[in-house]
Amino acid sequence: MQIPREYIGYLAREVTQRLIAEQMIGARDVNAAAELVRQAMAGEFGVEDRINEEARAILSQHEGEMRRLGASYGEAFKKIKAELVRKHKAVL
Amino acid sequence: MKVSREKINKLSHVVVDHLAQHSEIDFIEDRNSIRLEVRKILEKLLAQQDKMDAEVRHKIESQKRSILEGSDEWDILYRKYYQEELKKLGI
Repeated sequence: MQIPREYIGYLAREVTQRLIAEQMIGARDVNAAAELVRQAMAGEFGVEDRINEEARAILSQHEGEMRRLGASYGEAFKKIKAELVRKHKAVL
Repeated sequence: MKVSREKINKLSHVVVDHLAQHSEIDFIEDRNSIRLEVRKILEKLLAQQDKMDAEVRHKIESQKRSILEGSDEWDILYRKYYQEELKKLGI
């Protein structure tokens, strides 16, 4: 999932400022609070990219075998990715 | 790309859980109320992001010649037009 980095920063600042304005949270340093929110969001938005990387790493370990068996990279990638999503209990 | 409701819900949990780990953030309201507010804000802002994305894609598709999505040229144009949309928001 591709949400541009700058937009994640914008989301984090807006969420933080609105929570503070509505007196739902308090923070002495608003920028530091926004950075915490940004970290959380960036981590969650990055889940699919990390799973894709993990799937590619697994596939590259079995490249030779797959070629021998004539297996489809695309199909294998989808299956491994689905397994990893289940394993990590990820929400894509 | 549209962010699913499930993903927005997950984001709201992750944000609140992360803030709860830091003592420099005071939770004035209860955790779930904060989470629901985060979700509401994200729904609105991510809908705005969808519109920006659609506008950028429309600009690329309106080019005189066809540019394939995923090509380097498409990526460069997407970034350029996306930056223009961000500027309109004052980001």
